[in-house]
Amino acid sequence: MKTTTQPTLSVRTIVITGVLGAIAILLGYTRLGFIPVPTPAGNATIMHIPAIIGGILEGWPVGAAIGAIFGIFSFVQSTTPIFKDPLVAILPRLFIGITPYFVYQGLRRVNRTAGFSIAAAILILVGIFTYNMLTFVPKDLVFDFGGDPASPWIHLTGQTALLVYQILGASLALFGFGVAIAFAYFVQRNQMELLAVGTAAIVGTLTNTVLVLSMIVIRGYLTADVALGIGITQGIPEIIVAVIVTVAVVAAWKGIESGAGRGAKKV
Amino acid sequence: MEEFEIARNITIGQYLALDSFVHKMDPRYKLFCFALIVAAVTFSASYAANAILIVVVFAFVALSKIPIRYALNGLKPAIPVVLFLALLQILFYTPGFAGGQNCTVFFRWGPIESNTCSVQLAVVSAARFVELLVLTSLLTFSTTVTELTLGTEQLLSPLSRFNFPAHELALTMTIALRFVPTFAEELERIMKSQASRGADLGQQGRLRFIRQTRALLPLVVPLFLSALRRAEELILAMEARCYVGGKGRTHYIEFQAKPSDWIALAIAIVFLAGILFIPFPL
Repeated sequence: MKTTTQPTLSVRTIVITGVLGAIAILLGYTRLGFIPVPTPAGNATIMHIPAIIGGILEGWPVGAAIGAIFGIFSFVQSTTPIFKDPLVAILPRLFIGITPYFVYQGLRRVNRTAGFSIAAAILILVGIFTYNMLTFVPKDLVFDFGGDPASPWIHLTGQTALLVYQILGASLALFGFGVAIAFAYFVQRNQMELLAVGTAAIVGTLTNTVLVLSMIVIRGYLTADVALGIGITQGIPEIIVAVIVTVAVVAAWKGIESGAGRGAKKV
Repeated sequence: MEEFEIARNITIGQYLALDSFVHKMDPRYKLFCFALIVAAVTFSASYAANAILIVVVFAFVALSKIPIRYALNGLKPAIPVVLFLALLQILFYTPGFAGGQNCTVFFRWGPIESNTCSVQLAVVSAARFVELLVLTSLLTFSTTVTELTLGTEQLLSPLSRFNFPAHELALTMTIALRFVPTFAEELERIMKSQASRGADLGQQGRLRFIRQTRALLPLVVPLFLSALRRAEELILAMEARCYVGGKGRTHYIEFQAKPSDWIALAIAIVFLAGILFIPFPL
């Protein structure tokens, strides 16, 4: 793909960007772009997914341009005060399509040995974390969350704090373990392509959530604590939804390409 | 059948054909002024600056002859969100906003703290929202989509000396806007055909969002695939006709700047400078 170094964008870049940008706009117009989830905001959006798919399929310039179209559109259409700020609505969105491209390119070339090594590395990290969690039993554990240090919303000490600490640690360890197992599973089945697409979708969605919320905090609309809460509750369903949709679309498109013998690209 | 009506409910661009100064402005100058005033709104955090901005923005509405209820179209559904956000901002103070040093505390109760700075943050955010809402609807009511894309392209064209693809990006935007109605029809067709095969497109409830997402796949995947297929066809068509981008390309419509456009731009620049550099007391 000769998209990066050419002085002008190739026809391919222009057209794919325009078409996927059109889908991002269309998803914003219909209820299709918003999936009801059990979080305070009520919806997980899939409007950013065209940018991720564009980045994966055609390279980072396409991803960035689709992100820009999505951003401009959400700035113009928005009826939420926070997103009427161009620094929140447009700027962070440029990166949604850029990070997935590099993750995808990095992971798809990984061979079995390297794939298992990455899975093993994750497993070792999880192991170290779990070992530390089990052996390190803090004496005076205090949990302060939310508000300012002098008067937090949640203030736990003693046994309760220890329990919360263990539950949090255990769920993080379980999550890491799950990630490592899933990674190894896909490597074992030699589905590096699927693995790369799924990871790219996770990273792209994280880019959107983290950058938008950071910008909201920088611009002073919400405090960091509130933003962190929104990020965790809203981010996880959005990641799950994004992985399902992105993997389905990219797999279907690549399948068509190789199945019908249209291009030289093989899955 | 109403849930299948997608194409009919999509309106891109909401141009109102009126005879006013704002409508007749050269789109390039209008866009530039728009960007300057949006910058002024974005970077002003004081009561006084926002009061001036509100007045200026509504003066624009009067100047453009657009009915005020049109300009405030999107405001009504947003009011609950605005109020909720204002409440959050008043109760949970963000240190560092609006100077942050001389905040007089009204009351404190646990993590809840309300002071002059948090009130200012809430008021300024709400004012900013109204200003930007009115400005964007003003732009879209007074400028056609063609004028907008062509204006953007010509505004950015000086950057093409530094290899910035101004023409190409404008073409991208045109393609995007051109294909939205087409894809809306496509989506309608896909929805109808999946429903006729017995697909359940209804809501599944919030807790079952994974199932809900999977239920959307029979709509989303064909939509993306047909879009990408159309893209391949368009690429082939453009390459067959030897499309080579913006170099040496001329336009059917040539914009002509009037003296009044220059004056408007000069006023906008002075206005932005004034908002940014005058130290408003409040």
